[in-house]
Amino acid sequence: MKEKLMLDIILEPGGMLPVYQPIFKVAGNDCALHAVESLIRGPQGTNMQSPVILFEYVRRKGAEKAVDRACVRAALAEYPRLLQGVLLSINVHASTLERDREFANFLQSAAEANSFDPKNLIIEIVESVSFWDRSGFTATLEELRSLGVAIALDDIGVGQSNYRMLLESRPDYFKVDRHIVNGVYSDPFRQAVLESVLLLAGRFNARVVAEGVEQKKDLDTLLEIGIDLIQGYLLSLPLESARLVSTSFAQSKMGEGEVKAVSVAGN
Amino acid sequence: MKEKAPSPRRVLIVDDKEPILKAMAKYFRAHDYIVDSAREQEEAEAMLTHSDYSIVIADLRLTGINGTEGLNIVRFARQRWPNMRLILLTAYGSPEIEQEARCCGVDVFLHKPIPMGELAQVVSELLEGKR
Repeated sequence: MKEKLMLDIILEPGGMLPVYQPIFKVAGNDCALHAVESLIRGPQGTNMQSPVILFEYVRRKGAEKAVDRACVRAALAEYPRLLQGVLLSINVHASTLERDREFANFLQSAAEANSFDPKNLIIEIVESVSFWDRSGFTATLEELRSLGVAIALDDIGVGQSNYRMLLESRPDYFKVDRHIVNGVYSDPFRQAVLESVLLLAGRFNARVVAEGVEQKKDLDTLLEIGIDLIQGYLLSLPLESARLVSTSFAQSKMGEGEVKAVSVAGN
Repeated sequence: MKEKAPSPRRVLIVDDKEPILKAMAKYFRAHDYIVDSAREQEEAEAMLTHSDYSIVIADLRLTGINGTEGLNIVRFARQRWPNMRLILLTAYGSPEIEQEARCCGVDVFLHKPIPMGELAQVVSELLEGKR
């Protein structure tokens, strides 16, 4: 019998496990859930559990379209019903948005199948390689926007998330990469970059999300700069669906001088 | 002074035959190697993109269309990691393929079947710089 390719295993039902990382709106010591980003892990017990290996493999197989669709299905299917009113952000390759001309219809059907309002969806554009058919890409984004879906651009400041991509995608969210965020408290140059991103986002009528926030000192500096949408291990690890359900995110207080764990398990 | 512990020897084994892959992984793990394995060219390349290995042992013919996927792995690994040691195994070798493998940067070209102990000896010599 012919052995299955890894791609077959990835695309099997249950092949991909979504985990969910919250994005918080932080104001002073208050911390409220703004959105949840779905992150995908590959089949357990394989090399593909690591997302960087998984998506490198998928790219080399040229299978972004099929895998992105499977990621969307998995993210929606596993998303806790109790959080239906909370924005759900799902990563999709720019190349999929460019080439999969039926993506918006697919997304609408997948959302309907899970009784999920597309207006509560954010499509987060990721890309590690250069691509470009502008017309296909922008047409798909327009179709998504007509469904009420918001657009985020991931990894701003590194790789393919450059000014050109900003102009083509006109995102509603600028997600700033961890490499720019980490250590901002002590680095005036990082502060300058983040201030300029905030200014730029304002001109796009977009909001800025700081990714990879791991230190309280960085969080304080981000808030001083004016960036209040925060994602990172400091506030919450990515959580499996069941854990997310048993976690209260509605509102939390941060203690003086430290950030308390925002999630309250076992409720 | 405390003696410095030897750094772990990391090996990536690439073969599309699951039983062979498992047997080789088991053997090298038992000899204190840290072993990763892959069954496809793209899987091996994805792993080599993000991890450094002391040595790669790849079969020439994997599941694919041209039957020389191992050469592509050697080429990719040599470009990305100039100091990595590379072994290519094959049951379908020819002088032309061997010549091409050497041009791609393979360190040792071995014909299958090869006893595990003999392969381990080659690996050990490569890592000790004796080859």
